[in-house]
Amino acid sequence: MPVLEVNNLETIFATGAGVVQAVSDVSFTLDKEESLGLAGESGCGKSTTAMSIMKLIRPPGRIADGKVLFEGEDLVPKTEAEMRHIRGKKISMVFQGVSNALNPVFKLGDQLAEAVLNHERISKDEALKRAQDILDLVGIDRSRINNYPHEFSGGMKQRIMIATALICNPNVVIADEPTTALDVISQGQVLKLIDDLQSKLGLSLLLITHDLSVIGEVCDKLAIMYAGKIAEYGEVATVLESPLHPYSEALVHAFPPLKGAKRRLESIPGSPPILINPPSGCRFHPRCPHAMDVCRTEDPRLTEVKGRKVSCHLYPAK
Amino acid sequence: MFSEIGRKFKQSTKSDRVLVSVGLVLVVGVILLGVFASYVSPHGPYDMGENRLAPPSGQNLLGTDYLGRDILSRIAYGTRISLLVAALAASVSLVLGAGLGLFSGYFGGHLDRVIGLMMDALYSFPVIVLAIMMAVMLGPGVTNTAIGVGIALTPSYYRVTRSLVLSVKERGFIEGVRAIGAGDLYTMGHHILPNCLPSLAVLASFNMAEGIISVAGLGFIGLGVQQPTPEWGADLKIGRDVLAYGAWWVSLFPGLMILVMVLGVNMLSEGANALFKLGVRRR
Amino acid sequence: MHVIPGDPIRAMLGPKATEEMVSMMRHQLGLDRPLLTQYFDYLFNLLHGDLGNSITTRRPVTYEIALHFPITLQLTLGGIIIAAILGIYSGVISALKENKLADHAARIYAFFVYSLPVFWLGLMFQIVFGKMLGVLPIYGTLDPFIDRPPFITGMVVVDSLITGNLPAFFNSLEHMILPWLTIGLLLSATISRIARANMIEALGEDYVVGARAKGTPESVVTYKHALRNALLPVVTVIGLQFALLLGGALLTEYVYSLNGMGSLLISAIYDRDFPLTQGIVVVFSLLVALVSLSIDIVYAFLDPRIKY
Repeated sequence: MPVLEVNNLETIFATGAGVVQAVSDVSFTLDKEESLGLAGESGCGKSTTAMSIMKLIRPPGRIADGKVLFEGEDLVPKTEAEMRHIRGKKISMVFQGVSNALNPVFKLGDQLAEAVLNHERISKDEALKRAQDILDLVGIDRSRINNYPHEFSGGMKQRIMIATALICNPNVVIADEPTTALDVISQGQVLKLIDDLQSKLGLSLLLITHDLSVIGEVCDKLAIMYAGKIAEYGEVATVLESPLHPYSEALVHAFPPLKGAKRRLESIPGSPPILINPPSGCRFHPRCPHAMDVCRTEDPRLTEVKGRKVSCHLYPAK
Repeated sequence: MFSEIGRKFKQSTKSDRVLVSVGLVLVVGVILLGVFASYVSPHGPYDMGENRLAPPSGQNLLGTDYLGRDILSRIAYGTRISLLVAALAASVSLVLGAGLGLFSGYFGGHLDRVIGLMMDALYSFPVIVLAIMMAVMLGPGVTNTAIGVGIALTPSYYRVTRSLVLSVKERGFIEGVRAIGAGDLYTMGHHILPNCLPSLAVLASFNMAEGIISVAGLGFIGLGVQQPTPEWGADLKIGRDVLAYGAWWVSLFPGLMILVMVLGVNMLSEGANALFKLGVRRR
Repeated sequence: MHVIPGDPIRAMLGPKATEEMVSMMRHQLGLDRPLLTQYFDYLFNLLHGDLGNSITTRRPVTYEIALHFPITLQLTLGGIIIAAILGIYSGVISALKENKLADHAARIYAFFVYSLPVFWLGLMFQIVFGKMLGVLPIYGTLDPFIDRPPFITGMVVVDSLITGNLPAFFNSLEHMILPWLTIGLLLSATISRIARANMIEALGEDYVVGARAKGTPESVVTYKHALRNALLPVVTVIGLQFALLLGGALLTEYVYSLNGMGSLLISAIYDRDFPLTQGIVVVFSLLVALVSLSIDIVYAFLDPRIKY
């Protein structure tokens, strides 16, 4: 049984300007000790998907439909009190290091200890010791538990975020753009850390990023999202080497190859749709070079094609 | 200009609209009361009667004070006095403050620093203390109170005007205007001042509230408007004096008038501030 | 450094007494000397802690002020505490129930309270609780028949507690309830507003989501994580509002006949006691300056991001 299974997830935001269809009919699975990369442009719904899994969506947003099965149990109908026991302990989230996810007025040790004390009845001292142990694991000096968040660099804060997520030995870790705001050197270090920890601790990882190269390095599977829907989903090698969905293809070609012949960076003309009134039919059709008549009227469904799943009318369901 | 006001009104949030509307109603209501005081008052404000310290009744809707004067009449006519003094005070502080702010911001240099220092010192002072000091120097009475409170409220106008002048200077067109031969006074009056007016107007209404309370406060202590002139604060002093007799009506109604007026002005200025997005700070 | 306003010095030159008294007084106080000399003399004395002598009591001004200052302190401190409790509580509730009924009610309430004249509020409290209901005393700091505690801090509430004089302690508390409430309500309106705005902002910050993602209970997220951040600017606000607070304290003292600096100032003015008046004004301005300075320090102390 997969450790995490998302089925037809739909998350909406009821704003003054209209209902934003942030996540529509998103489905994927994450097996034990597997790592899945969720990729796409800003605003495509990948972070919202992650927040929906953790049930951290607050009004005016809500999960409108679908199931989120964690170890077989659906999380969607669970209450806040029940989710409390899951967050941080069974499923945890790694935020961007440069975000304000660490409270600036509390010391590092206290914040790490809080993560433990939320779930285990141990003494404060024991919790602080656990905090120091986890800092060792991510490569930060133990003695810094009395420092404040603003005293750390971006890369170090990212490691702290990883430490916070791991301190209770969760089964699933969701990493939201863990390397995005870092310089290249720190990026490499953090990626290596994530990769090592994942194999060492046997974690299942959901990695969210817009950077396909990151996914290429760390992940087993890849799901590409566009405008709140899944465009293509399958093994990393399969999708990256021969992308089928026109958006995946364009995305892959937008990244310069580190090796091999130099080629022109191609950007995708146009911009993603505003999800209040998404375009009829396939949401990518206004920007798609292969758009056909049917694309304007019918929304394609995820279909199994050549060893992965694609939602595109070029590959119609049988 | 009115069409723009109308447009801004439609674009605002509900709470801002409520603020401005209710505030306007209250303020206009009070002003009307003052204007039509003679129609509303069954007696004259100075008319003493036999019926001393009488509770509210058919004859005296709001009761009488220790001289038998009708409270309703006193607060209705008191409206005129309070509004007059507050408006005078507002004008004094506006002219002084904006004037000083204009000169200070425009010329800069030593003048700016000296005036700024003085204003800073005044600004950090409790208004009531300043007002009391002014009252001591100038003496009691209607005009003196107005001048005193006006001077006490000057610093905030000074600050706002000065910063507006500085931001206008920053925009650079002052050089352009000077280059075509405009004199200093003309530049200040014709070009800079109009930019300041909306913010100053809002500040004026914020300060009206403070002015009204300060005037009433001085009257309450006995340093402001003197008896027998009807003024809400001075009448509250009487209320305090007759506290022992349990004559609550003498204290309640004048104070209620102050509250209604100040509430109205505050609501109006808050609403207008938000509506026109002027970001004027309240003190 | 703070500038002492020149005005009270000019006030000395315009007394409304008879000509003879005036010239005699002037000469006695050395006022017929050139203005500049007087000013420097005054400053010189000031730096030595000498504010001259009160005309009415013939005692040093500093002595008179020291005698009355603690009561003002007692009033202000109590007022700040009540204002903080009321203001923060209503501000937080408002923020949590943003745009719902409780929020609107709290904001209207705060607006209303802000527009109340403090002296009228005091007067009304006196009428309702003192005269009509007769449950609370409305004048002075202590009933005359109670044993007065010795002057240790000068704050009757504190002194009676320290010396174990429980009847005086409770009696003085009774006397302070209404004044504290009067001045506290006034300040609470502003605090409520700021607390609300800051709390709403804090609740939208990333660390709130981060805390939830760790499995932190919602109440802890609100009251530990968000509130702690929201409260920092409130401290600054109290400092900025200090002038307002002093003004309110002055009027409150007058209303409740508390013998603090405010009452002293008013009686000094009525008695045309210029040295005393001036001295009190000087002390007031020093206080305001001191508080402004300390607020910055206190804030730096509370916010770990600031190093000083």
